[in-house]
Amino acid sequence: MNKIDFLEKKTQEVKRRCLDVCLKGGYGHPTSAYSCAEIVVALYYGIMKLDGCEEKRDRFIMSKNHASPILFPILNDLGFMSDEEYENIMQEGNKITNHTNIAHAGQDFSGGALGIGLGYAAGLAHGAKLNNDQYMVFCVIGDAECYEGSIWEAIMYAGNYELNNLVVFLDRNGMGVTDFTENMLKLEPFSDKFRSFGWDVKRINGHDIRQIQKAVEGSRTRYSSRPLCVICDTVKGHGIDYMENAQLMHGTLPKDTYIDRAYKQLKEGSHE
Amino acid sequence: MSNPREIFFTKVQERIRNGQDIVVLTADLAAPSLDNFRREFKGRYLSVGVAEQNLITTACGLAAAGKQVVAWGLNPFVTTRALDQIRNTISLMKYPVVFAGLHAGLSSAISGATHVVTTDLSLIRTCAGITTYNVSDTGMADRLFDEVLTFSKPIYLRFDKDINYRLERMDAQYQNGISMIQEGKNHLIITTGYHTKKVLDVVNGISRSGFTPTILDIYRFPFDKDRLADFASAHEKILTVEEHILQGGLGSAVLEALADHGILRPVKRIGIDIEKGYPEFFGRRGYFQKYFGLDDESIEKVIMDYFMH
Repeated sequence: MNKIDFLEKKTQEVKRRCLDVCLKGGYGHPTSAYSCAEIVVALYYGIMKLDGCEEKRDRFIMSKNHASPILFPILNDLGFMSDEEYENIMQEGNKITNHTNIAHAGQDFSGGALGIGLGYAAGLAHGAKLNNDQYMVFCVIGDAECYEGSIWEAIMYAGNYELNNLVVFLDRNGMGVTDFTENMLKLEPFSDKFRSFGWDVKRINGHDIRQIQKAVEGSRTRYSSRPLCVICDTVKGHGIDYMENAQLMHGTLPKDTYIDRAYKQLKEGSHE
Repeated sequence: MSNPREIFFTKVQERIRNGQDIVVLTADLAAPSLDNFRREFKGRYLSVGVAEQNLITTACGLAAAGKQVVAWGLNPFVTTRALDQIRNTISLMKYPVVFAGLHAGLSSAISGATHVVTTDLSLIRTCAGITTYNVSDTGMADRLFDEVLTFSKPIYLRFDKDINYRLERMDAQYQNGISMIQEGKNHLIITTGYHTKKVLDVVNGISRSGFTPTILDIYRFPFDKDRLADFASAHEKILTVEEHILQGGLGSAVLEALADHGILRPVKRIGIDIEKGYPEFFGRRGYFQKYFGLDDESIEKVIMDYFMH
């Protein structure tokens, strides 16, 4: 199996396990998780340096933190989260909720409130530069999260201080909770906005692992003085026919026959 | 030394010269002692612009990278605009960031209703694990800022530009958040920050007639509730005075301590009643102190009516 095949199969496995976690806990945001599944898998199984000392270990910030259940199977798979911890996610009284906590190994943020992770990631990246630490900071933000003004404060900061050790994946699934973003307040043109704040920008298909990998080539060797935003065009609820682009599916779990339908499509790899 | 803010930043500079890895992150707010700092420690003076939300989150990120961070901005915006960030980064992730806001109480009332800092003590009291320092004189600042600059816990510093004096106090050990200014009997007055001197001045004026209350200065929140309960038990009547809203501030904290310890004593609170609204007209600190009943004359009248009858 070549690397891309492996990562694509891993994505399906992670998405299945994500749904397991959400159904078992009776809570979660699978549509938000599925739009960024390939991004997170590509990061954890190839792009990021996960081991090494604190000065070298890459950092990961899930700013759209309601998508964290996509991360938990990965943290378990890679040994950052024990089987016991994993089995108890979202079980009452357990420390692992639907959000990440700074105490969880393998990632670097306590999340949940939108608009906070990018400023934190920028501070972390800036601190690394001041310390001459070599690690990269990777951050996933949501497109609708960009309605938060604090995101733009952070974008301005990172551009100004030339934080070229910071890579942001913008999960451009085109939807908020109630509607498509461009039906609400227009967010485009994202690329122009980031560029005008001093960032490099690439726009890719966020479900194509090859494109995700290619987008960050050169970042580690700081080919540019600028932070990088990878705008990932994605589909909210990607891979499950009734979830894809469905309004008001945000934070909703499948029920009854829809559960089997979801698993069937995740097993086959695609409903298309 | 001129005022607590200058004492603080002078100490910051001393510590950096001694090898402490401190960075100052500012939301476009100056301080005279930072003028030299910006030149001498260029890489340690970082600006977020007028962006208080990012001030807090970025400060936490820098702390996550191992820096000792002072986040510095204009109040009330550091605490009110960025409250969500304070709650979800500094408080939730327990980073020992020191975030400091210039202006306390009505000290910037001349700038209007948007600039009074009269809700911050209440708000930060609701954020787990954050200690607030509300210093009341330069001597206290000199002592306590050494403790603050160990960066051992999340700290909110409240600076008042009108505090530029040193007070005599009976207890300058600063052990439990409560400093006794003077010891008396029967009557207990509890205050904080700028009003510590004000209460002392008023009481000194009345003392000629033999009135000697105990005066306590709460300089740190949370404070030692057991110790406060001991003081309350030893007195008959209690008055709290604060240049802050009554809802959730010093007076509330005192009432909570007494209730939790089952101590029944009459308590009267002087402060800003939120029902009077915001100061939506032009005036300086003294004007609004009178408006809210926090000037010398109003405090004296309450003391006379409450304690003497």
